[in-house]
Amino acid sequence: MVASCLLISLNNSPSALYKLQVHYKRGRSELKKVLTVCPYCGSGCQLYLCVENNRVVGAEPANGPINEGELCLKGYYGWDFLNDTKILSKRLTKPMLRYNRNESLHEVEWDEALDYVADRLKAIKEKYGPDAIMGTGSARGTGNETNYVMQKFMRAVIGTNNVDHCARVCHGPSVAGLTTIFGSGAMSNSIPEIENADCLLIFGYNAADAHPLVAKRIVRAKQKGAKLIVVDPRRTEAARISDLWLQLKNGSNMALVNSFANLILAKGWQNDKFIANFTEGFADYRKTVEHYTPEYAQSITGIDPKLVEEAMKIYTHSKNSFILWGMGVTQFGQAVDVVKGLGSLCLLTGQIGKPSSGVGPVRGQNNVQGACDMGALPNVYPGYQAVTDAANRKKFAKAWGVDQLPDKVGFTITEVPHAVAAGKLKAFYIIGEDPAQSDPDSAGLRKALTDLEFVVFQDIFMNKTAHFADVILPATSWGEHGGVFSGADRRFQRFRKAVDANGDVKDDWVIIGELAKRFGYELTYKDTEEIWNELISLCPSYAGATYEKMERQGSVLWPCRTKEDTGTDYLFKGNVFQTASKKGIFFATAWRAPAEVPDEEYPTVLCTVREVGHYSSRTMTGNCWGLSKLADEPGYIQISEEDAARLGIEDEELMRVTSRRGSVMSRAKVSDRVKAGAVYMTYQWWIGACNELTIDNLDPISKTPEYKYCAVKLEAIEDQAQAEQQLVTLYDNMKRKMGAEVSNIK
Amino acid sequence: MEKLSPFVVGDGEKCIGCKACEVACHVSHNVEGITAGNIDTPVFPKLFVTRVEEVTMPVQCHHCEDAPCAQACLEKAIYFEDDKVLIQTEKCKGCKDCLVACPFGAVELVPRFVKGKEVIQENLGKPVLYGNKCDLCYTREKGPICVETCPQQALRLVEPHKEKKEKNKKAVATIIGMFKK
Repeated sequence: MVASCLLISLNNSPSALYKLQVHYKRGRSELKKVLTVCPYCGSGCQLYLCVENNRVVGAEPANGPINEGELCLKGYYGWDFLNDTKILSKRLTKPMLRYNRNESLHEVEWDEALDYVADRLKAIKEKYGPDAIMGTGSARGTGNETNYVMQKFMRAVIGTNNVDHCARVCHGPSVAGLTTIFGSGAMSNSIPEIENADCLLIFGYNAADAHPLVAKRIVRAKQKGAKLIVVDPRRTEAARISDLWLQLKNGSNMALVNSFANLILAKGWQNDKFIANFTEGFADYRKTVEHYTPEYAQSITGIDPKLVEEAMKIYTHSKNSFILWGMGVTQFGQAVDVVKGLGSLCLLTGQIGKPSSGVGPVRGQNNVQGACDMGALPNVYPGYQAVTDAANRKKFAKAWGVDQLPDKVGFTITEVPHAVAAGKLKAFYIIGEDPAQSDPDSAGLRKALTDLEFVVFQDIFMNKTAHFADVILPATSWGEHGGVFSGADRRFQRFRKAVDANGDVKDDWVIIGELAKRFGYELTYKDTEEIWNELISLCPSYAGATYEKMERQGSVLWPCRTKEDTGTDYLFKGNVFQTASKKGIFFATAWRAPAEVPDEEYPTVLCTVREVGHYSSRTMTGNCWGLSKLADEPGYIQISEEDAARLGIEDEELMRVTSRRGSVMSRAKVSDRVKAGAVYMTYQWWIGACNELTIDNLDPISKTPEYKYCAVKLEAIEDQAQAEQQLVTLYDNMKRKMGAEVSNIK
Repeated sequence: MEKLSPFVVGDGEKCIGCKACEVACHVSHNVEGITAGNIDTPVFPKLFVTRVEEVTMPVQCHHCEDAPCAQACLEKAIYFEDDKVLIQTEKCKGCKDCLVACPFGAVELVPRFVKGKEVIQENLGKPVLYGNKCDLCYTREKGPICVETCPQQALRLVEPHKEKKEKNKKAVATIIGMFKK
């Protein structure tokens, strides 16, 4: 897939072209293009990296199945972090270690670092047992093979199911909820099918900011005549072009979903034949939703019953209706229930098991689907095979050459602070995650990281979490290694190495393998394809998805069971579900209020959201020139015109946001797209860090935190000049701590 | 008829506000660098993604036929070159009259950077500012980079004389249809 490339189309100003062509004629530089998959959101866009002298110099869209020759701004301009720009933080280029927490980390050789990690983990395992050690997979650039190797290391070598990753704080509820309802926790239909739906019910999902190339499919569906129903407290881009916008009150999802079901049944719009033949549990379901008439639900949701009727008329009467949702469903204390409620709407109406009709929990990070697929979860092996099933344990124990595997479901990452406080967890091996930035109640998490006896941190950049580590293991980045990513729609795609890494770094799976060797366990492979072949041989639903097939087809959507199988666009063909009984299981339950509701002292709701230019905890996008300069600290807080006027806050002014757990500075974005009484912040900022404020109220099943709802108070800042100065000082200090080059550029 | 100036316009039905056009615009005009990886100044796009309650779309210069910005400019730094309104930035004194005159808010005053460093007016201790606005990427063979980059194909270059002729043709087709009935 390497082709020569004479020019870079990113910047076609004649002067730039001229320079490159001159270089080429002098034979000074050979340019090549490497086909790969974008490292940002879960859409799975394919792009070419343009490489000159082992340095990435540009990105061009490729004709991938998702992006069809287009890219968003992150795809176009999100690659130069690879060149260690040191805008926000520095690349990790050498193992670092400290034998004592009072010392600062110092550079060491790999052997010293790995010996120390192995010795400490062995000692902790000896003293407290294997379940005192927790590990993470990574949903980001490292790829499926590392996630497979990591969960194998935790299970077969350490002997615990304590392995998890950041799907927990994102679409964990979708996996848990949909598995109960349908027997499979992923998108039932592929992303390209969105544009052929006749009705899109978009629930708590802002594709324009989260997945721009999925948003394109939504816009295209609208152009092709689909009806759009959007449920969101904010006037998002989708709400703006929708046919119906249900601006519900924050935290009332379950009541609204129940009222949808109630209305459908009251009108007789349900699909009785489908219910009779393909589902279970309808009688109980009907009884539960009976209470939620649209008139009653209005007291919770604020939605006019007429709108509920109109929305459900469209949803039930359209030929193919497709429900899409995002964090607006999953990041609540009651999240799994709402997912099950949405799934049950499909069962009630038969809007599933056909093209362009079903459920679409659109996954956030580029490989969060993959980290789940690979079993970086405390309850399942790769391919969603339960650890509590003796037959599965036996199969994997045999394949991995160990006598037995642990049968107890492990800790989730959101349980870590509680497990540390209870003295149950002593060591934490973190790969490619930044919980100190991304997890709720940052102060609580910092305490947990401090109280742990041993923290290993394996990543590509310095970040907030790295400062709590005893050992830092530097890894290669996306662009410096290859493998397989899973896109949001169960799409396996090959991503490829474009450049050799600088610095004394290793591929993640190599590091884990070398560590395993120190435990006397052979976990070495010659390349990622060898890992892949091992794992697909253990997972019936991936068995036919070879590297060769991915190369040939461009991508493979699992399930793909045999050599002949080309993959599966939409699940549940013939209405055969993957539950034990092969039927869809209805579920409904009562609405529960969020944990921390506004009161006199903290009168406003804080909800955390995404913005298009930055990704995840910002270690990658914040180190890209174009993206970092587009939006910077302390980040924006979206606030209604009414609230801003009442508090005397002007657009673009700095202001203070305080909850029971913390207090931060943010910049006001006074917007007519949000309602009074609620404010919205994004989570990637160090200074305007909204997770200092959020609450770790967890969903009881998926253990996902309630990022979308906590109570805060808002205050204007009198002395703006002083606040601006303080912002610069704080930011520069943090950047220095992260090894960035602090310049005089404002 | 004199040829009317072309300009770029956004489609509010398609735009999702992703700002790919803004970064592309900056990169395209960042003459000292080669690619996005060399950007060493804050991003100063020449078009501005704007959200109001009903619509999201970028706003940029219309290259107005009467160019109120040029008429307002005392330094005569803003001028017509063929069918484009351009700014000779070295002449700009940062008086902001163009900013007031422009009906679209398409002109912005931005600090001058040389080799990644902000240029400071020594006696004032303040950065040198100049007027910045859409120049239709006139040095670029393929035309405006924003049109090319937009993943939603929400931007297009309007060429008024062509637009008019095409609409005339469409109108003829409709009128003929009317007589056939």
